[in-house]
Amino acid sequence: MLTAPFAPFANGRLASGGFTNQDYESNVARRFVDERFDQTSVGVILVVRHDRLDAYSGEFITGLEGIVQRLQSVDGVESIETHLTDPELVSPDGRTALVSVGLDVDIEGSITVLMELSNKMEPGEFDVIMTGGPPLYRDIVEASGADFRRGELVAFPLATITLLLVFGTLVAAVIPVAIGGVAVVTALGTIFWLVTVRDLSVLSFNIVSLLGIGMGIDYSLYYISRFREHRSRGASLPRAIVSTQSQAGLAILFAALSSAIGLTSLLLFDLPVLDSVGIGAVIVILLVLAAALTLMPSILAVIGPHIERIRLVPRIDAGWNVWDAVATFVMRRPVLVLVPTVSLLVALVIPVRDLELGGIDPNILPRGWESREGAVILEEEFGFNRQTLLLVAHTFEGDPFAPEAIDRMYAFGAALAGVSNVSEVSSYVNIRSTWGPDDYSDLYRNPSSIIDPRISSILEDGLREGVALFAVSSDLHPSSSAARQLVTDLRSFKPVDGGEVLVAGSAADLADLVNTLYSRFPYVMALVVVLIFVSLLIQFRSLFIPLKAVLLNMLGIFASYGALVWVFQYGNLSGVLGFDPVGAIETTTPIILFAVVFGLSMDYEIFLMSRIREAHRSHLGARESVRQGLQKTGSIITGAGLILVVVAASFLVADIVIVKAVGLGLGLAILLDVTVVRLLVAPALMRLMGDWNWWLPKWLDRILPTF
Amino acid sequence: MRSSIHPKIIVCASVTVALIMAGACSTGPEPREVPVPARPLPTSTPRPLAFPADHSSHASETEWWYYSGHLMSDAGSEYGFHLALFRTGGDGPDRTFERIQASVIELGVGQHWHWTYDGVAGTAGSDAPDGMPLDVSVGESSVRIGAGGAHALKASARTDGISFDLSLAQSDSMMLHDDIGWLAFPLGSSYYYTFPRMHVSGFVETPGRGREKVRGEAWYDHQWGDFVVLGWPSGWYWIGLNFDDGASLMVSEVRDVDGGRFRLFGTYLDSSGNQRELEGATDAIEIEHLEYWTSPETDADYPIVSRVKVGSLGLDFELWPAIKAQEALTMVGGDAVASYWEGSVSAMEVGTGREIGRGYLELAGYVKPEPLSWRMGRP
Repeated sequence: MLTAPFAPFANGRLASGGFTNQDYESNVARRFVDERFDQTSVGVILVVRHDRLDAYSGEFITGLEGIVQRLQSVDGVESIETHLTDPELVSPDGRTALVSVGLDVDIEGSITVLMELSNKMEPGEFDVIMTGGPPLYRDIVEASGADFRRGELVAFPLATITLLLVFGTLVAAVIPVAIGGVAVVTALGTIFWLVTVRDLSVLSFNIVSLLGIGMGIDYSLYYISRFREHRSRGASLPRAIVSTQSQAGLAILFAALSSAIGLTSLLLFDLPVLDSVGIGAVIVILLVLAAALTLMPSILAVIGPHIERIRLVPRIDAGWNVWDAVATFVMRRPVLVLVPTVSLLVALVIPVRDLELGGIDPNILPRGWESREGAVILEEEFGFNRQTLLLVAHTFEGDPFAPEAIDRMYAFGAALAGVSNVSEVSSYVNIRSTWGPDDYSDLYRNPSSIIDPRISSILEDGLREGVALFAVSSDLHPSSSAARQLVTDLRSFKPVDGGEVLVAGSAADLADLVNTLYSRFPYVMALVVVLIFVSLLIQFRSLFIPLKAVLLNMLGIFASYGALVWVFQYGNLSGVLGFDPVGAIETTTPIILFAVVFGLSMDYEIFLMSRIREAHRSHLGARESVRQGLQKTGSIITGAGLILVVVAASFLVADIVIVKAVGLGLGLAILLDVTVVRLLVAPALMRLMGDWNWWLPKWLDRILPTF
Repeated sequence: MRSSIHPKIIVCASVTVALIMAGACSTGPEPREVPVPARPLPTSTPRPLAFPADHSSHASETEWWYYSGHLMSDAGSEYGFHLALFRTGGDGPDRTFERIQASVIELGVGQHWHWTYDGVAGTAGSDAPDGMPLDVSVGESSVRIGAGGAHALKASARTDGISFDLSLAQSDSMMLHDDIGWLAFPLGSSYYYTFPRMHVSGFVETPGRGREKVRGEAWYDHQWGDFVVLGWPSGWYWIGLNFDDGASLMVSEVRDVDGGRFRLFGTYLDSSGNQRELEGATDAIEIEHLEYWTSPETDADYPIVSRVKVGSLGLDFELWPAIKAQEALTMVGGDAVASYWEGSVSAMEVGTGREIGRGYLELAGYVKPEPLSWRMGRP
């Protein structure tokens, strides 16, 4: 709690990036190219228009030159190119000109330069839109802040109402807020200090808030319901607290352990943003667990006798319990329940086969944001983002103009040009399609005589001592899986005559991200599944129950992936949810969803199974144990789940598509879990399995630890 | 409560985790060898030229349209003018027009103005309005070729009061150089044709004389291909002359990559319109440089006075510039290495000393470039 006073300052110390790893080959290549060719990767593109002037009219040129002159005085501006020096910076109809402004600051520092550019520009009658990396970064930071505030406005009243409905009384409803609040504040204070040791993303702030409140509610609800049960049976306050602690405390311990396993898995991807989410999540889970097992009994010791006071929702005591009815129906007709529910889940999974992974580009913002508006013009009028451009750097030793060096580099360039989907290669040995190595040897016999502007610029921009650049163009979309395959194909060549080959470009960035994350994802999934399986095996001493739990969890998660594809990739409901389909799901979203949902879903499984096992151990039959477990936890699971669904659903009002996607994925996964999976499919399967539910080989029973 | 974990579980869990993580860290496939490249595609066989379609731009790496001529006003003022439109690279609709260079000279007075506009926007062929082969412009300067073969040139210097606005009508005389209008260069090849005597009318404006109505004759060249233009020591000496007797002559000496002679050749069109190809050795072409002018801008030494002989035609004349300073300063990325001398010259017959014709002289590849190491970003 000593860290709590620092919580309000945590968000200001968190970084917005982290969606790449600086050790990825594409980043190494980008730094190498930047350094050797005096380039800068951080650049702003100004889209300049005038309502009546053509870009080549004298008045337009004079006005533009004035703007350029003013921008050149801004600190941090390294270079400025206009259509007057590069004819490709004007649209085919001559109505739109681009100004490319290179900055010598990093992306974090670019926001200050952007403000200076806006202040100094004085566009007058010109319509100037800023786009490119820094404006996109600035807009995402602003949009996330606005999304967060808007989400709070929606989520807070809805969650409060749901909380009161679920807990019934004001006094009881305050407890989860206290548990979650203490955990969140302490976690944020811890993060404040942790940032002095290592960088953390702002997403760690979001995950701490989400999980702190979510798990605080889960654990409180489960704990309080057991406490109320004991009290209703006439137990004294101390006796009720001790009994609750011994029964619910163990379930909460295992639930927290499962969540921690799921979220710790994010640390295995070696990606700063996932590390941040994983670290933030584990900190808050441990703190919620500590609060639930220490603060909760203390609170109940004080306000326990008054827990039923200030009742806001009337107690329904009609001698009929909806969960009892559900349980009775499921026990009577397990197959009738299983067929439609499993069919629904499988149907939701089907779109996953079309899953396309994408990166972060201006299309994640809705129209109206400046960087997105600029990007739309770039795409429509200049074909940006419709083409993939990759830079392949090949290092070598010796004179690049020596005939033998030309022979080797020509062969390398020809190999790149022969790769599937490559439309053009440009380098000092890829100038004319009709030329062979001998022609290039002739051309470079006296390289100082080269005055052709295109060849000069290829030499000036693409050749340095010991390294040649090959600019590879393709008509593939840079976020497509085919573009990622192109990166793999380009990297597949062995460098000629030693040297090294490095591939840079946005498609390479995405390829490295996707390949690294998704080559590990199946193994990380398997690891999480195995660890949680073992954890449940120890807790429930059954083979079938852990197996069923992890399989149903996976089914629920893949169903939410399918829904994501159906909505955000296919574009269904885009009008209702207010977004432009981008044709892909952001790369880290499925992984974050897996880690969060697997842990949260397991909470509900553990709560349900703990009650069923208790009933089973008190020698009730298999059918009656399941019925009783379901009847006693149905309202807890749906109540806790509904609160989280409400919070997740508040993400749907966000501007940023990724936030909407996380909200939908999380909300849907939990909704499916607390309704279809936990309350229908799981009990139906247990009913069919009968006594096999609790089967455990004797040798395994002997070696498993007992708690 | 027994809480110790059995060693078998620890072993099993460790093995499982190790296997899973080993799978996650597996490496990719072995890199493959770069294959031996296939032979490049052969250059396509030249095709016959067709007009007005070939006035348009082509899917070629290098292309230019070149106009130069002499004009006289009703009041008797004489002018020379030059306009060149350059395009490089690109196929199809994305082909880029890059630059218009223009100059005006007040003959007699010796005033010369030269200016450049970069980033020319335009359309050609089927993209141009009303089937025009060419329609390009930048600011107030433009080059338009109509479907009927009429050319309209407008060029306006950034300084007020210097401009020309000319209409050119095609005459019957035409040169298809090297017989079919296609010739080899040191690096690549080029289509090349000339209309040496276009009829010109229009207006010229200069600070001294204001705007005057003019008429005269112009030389129109159009050249395109995959050839690469090299600078010093490569380059060329080129003349395009219209003789007073109605004949026209083009002579060009092209230097190779090392500065040696690649080819000396020419085309002669007699007054009846009969074309004759000229080759340096067989037609006894000789060029002797008599006087040089050093540019104060680029330090280039231009051979601006020369004696030219074409033995087979019995031609022997000296070329004298209207004024010495007619350099077309051409900046590319802050570098003047692509500058050339493009100026009005008179052909003075050796022996009689009388003027027998006028034309333009082009001297390309005389500016000595910076060392390449500087241009490649090395200190």
